[in-house]
Amino acid sequence: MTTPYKDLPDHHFWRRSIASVEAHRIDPVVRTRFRVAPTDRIATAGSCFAQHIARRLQKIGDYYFVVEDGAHLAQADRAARQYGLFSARYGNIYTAAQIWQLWREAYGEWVPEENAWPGRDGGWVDPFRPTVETFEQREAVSADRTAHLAAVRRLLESCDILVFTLGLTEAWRSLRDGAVYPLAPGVAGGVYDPARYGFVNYSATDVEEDLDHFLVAAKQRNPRLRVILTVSPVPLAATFEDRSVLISTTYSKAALRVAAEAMIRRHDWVDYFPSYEIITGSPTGGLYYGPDDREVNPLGVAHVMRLFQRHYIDGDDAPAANAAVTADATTDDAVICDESLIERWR
Amino acid sequence: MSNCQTLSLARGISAVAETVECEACDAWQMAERLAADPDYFRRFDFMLVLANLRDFPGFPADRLPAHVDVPCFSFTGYHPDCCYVTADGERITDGLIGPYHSMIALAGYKEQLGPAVTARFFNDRIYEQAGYYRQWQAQRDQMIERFAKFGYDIGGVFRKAGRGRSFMHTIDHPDIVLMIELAKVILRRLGRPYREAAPLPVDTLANMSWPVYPEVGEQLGVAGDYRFRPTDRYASLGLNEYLEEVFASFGRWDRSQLRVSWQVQPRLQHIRRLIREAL
Repeated sequence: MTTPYKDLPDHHFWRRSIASVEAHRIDPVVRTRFRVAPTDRIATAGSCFAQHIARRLQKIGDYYFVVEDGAHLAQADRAARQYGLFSARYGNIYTAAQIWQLWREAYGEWVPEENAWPGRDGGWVDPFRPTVETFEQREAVSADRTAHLAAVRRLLESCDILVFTLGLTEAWRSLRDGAVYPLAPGVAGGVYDPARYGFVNYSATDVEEDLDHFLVAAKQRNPRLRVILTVSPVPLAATFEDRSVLISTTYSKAALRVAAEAMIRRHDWVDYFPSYEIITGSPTGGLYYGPDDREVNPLGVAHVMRLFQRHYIDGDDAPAANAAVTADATTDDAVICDESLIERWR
Repeated sequence: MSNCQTLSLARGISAVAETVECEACDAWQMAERLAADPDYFRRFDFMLVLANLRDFPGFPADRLPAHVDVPCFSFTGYHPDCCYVTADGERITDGLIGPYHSMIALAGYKEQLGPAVTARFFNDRIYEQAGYYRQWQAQRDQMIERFAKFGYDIGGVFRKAGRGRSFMHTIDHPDIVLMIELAKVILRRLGRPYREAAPLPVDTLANMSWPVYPEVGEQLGVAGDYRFRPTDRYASLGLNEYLEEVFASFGRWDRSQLRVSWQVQPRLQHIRRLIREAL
């Protein structure tokens, strides 16, 4: 009896491609829409997990594109002020609404009412990247943001590939002008006032719309641009919904995954890379999380980036195995241990 | 009847089998037991025999009950740097970690480097170029093929015993988790019922261990370290301490006397070349 599944390749089937494969060899990437060329410049943006991607990209080669690298600062100062953490010093961009807002601000289509918040320990911070730096003078926040927005424009117009990691659906925004913040007022600056700020939990459609606005606008400015979307596997640290943070995490990731799927169906220059599935899927269930079951451990990041490199960078051009080192795939086989040794194990 | 793995395998079988009791006899005990009773093995209903033992002196081929052969499980995938070293053709078995040695350490020693300089070559670049990252897959395929020749399907063993962990203490000392899974494979092939879950027996081969280097472990989903556990010690040594002690022990021989087996000679030469190029 024939069925539509009869002659499908192994990756269509759980038993053949997942249940029979060791956890570290799980590879859900069937094909990519494009490859990273040796001259390509890759930019990263998004939630915390995007930081891992950025760090690993720097190890793989010279692909990582940074427009705000803090070259004028000492190494320690660069890290402390988040230079090089992402391609530009925008801090974590958790929501699609944030990146669309950043675009509109960068190109003068939107100006926030509030452009500085008091820091938690004095000084002033940028409400849209409050952890990046605390400034002594309020005016310095605006000056630095002007420079940052110029860097963002340079980045988006010059990069060949943007890796954007979708992180959250929950956010806080201004009730006056709709400005979306990465952190709630009061967390890393600002003062929480329920009359001025409100909570929002975006729907999959909301995310899809904001993401699509951003992608289309960015592509118009930079026709070379290709985008790799990923969904962060890092669960929510906290939810403002009156329910378990675990339930909110499931909703949030599902909505983001749906929006990413919509984008790859709509745009053939947008790809989806399944870091979320690699880390959270049952085949690797829990192996790639730290003790808090939230942070992704280095083994998980290594698995993700191994596949990223294999599929986007190495591809079919991966160097052939060195004959000298594959010749010894045969074990140096100690079939019989010496008696003096064997005595120990009896 | 087998090698150093026999006790673990026998314990593993006893732990999971529902209708079988299993006793172990290693290659060296074989001669003693046969000397005391030439028909010793006929006391048993059935035997599992390490295939390679058939060439062992005194192997009682004509005095065995019904039996099947079982191949040896060896696996360098987690420990691609671990090897045997011979001096004047004799395997050095009284090393810090019994008979096990680091190939990079040996290469450094033969290149007349000191321990501190040699330690620098325990790195991602050397591992990549020496093929360390390709060993796991190659060895897995080889073991599956080796066991398949004897009618055992061990494909699922790697997935189960190696989930987020190494199932080898050293290159030819599997841990008890792996041996339990092998026991199930053997019982299944023999049509004997077994329990999926059972209390783990004492792991007889756990008295020394080679570390999974972090860079290697990263490729395999295993948290690695550079902690070498010498024979019968509980305190492990870091890489620098290990190299200090190993270089001191290598000093007993002229550099030219220290060799590895022919199977892994190409790799040693390759590593020596990489080291020379990097210096």
